[in-house]
Amino acid sequence: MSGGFISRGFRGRRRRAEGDVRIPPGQYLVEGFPVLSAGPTPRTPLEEWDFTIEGEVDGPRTWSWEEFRALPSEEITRDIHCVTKWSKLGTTWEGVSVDTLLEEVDTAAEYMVAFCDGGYTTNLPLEEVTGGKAWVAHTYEGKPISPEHGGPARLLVPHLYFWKSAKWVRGLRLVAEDEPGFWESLGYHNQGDPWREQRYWGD
Amino acid sequence: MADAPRKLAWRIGEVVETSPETPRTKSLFLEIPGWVGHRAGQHVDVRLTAEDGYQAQRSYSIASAPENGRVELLIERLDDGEVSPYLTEELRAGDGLELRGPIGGWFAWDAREGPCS
Repeated sequence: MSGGFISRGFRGRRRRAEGDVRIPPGQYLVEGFPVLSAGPTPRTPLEEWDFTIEGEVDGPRTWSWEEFRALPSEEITRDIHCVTKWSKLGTTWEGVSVDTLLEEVDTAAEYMVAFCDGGYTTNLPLEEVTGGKAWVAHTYEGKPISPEHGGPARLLVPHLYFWKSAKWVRGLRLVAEDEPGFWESLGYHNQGDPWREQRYWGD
Repeated sequence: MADAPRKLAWRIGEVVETSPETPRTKSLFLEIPGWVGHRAGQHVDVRLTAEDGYQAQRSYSIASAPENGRVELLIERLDDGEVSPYLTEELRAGDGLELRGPIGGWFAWDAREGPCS
């Protein structure tokens, strides 16, 4: 129906050729780091913070902050893409691979729900977060992640829209059946692949 | 389990009126064929297409009450923006504007429940 529509008089800002191939359809480049949250910013003291893997596992596994920080960390540099249209190139994080965390449990689950301080959740198939594709990040550009960007720790799943990279993450609940998370229940796409522009239900 | 939701279609709205609100902001009043109505707090995605096919998309909150017939967007012009200068300075009554929505089920409420219930 809208095929071929031209916005009269619109020329637009042309991107630099170099960044072009790294920006998914419908996205634009930002240099800053916008803050978007669905509610107030929680501030959990590190001595009260822990991280748990639970659900369809042989037994739940919980790490204190000290135990979590003693796990091997990796440095990750990736482009990130928010469903509200901004993309930021070359962000550098440090975090514990989800592979490393999952090594500690036995499970037959195929999905997970990440849960967070403040009640936020997001759902992901395990195949989207294993094999070096997802981390629980504690450091951004060499410094502890600030509370407004999800510190002390946030999920980092940079190949999907950034609402999947849940701020203030406190654990993963492994489940046999997929369960839509917070935004996935409120109109946003269940998978969220920016290269296929999976923004909303039905995309 | 409900049927898979249909893709939110792109529609061509017609700009029926524009109204400057402040030196930096302008209201756009749109008539959108096929518009299904919205809840307070929802937004639309606007997509601009240049003659060579280049496109830019942005999200804008809906400024009008659901009971109004026309959909109003209130646009703030950002000096270094790509889309807001077009919407506030170039677009005029009679132009088409491509958009889809309404979008979002969280920052939204109904008049009978109020935003704070």
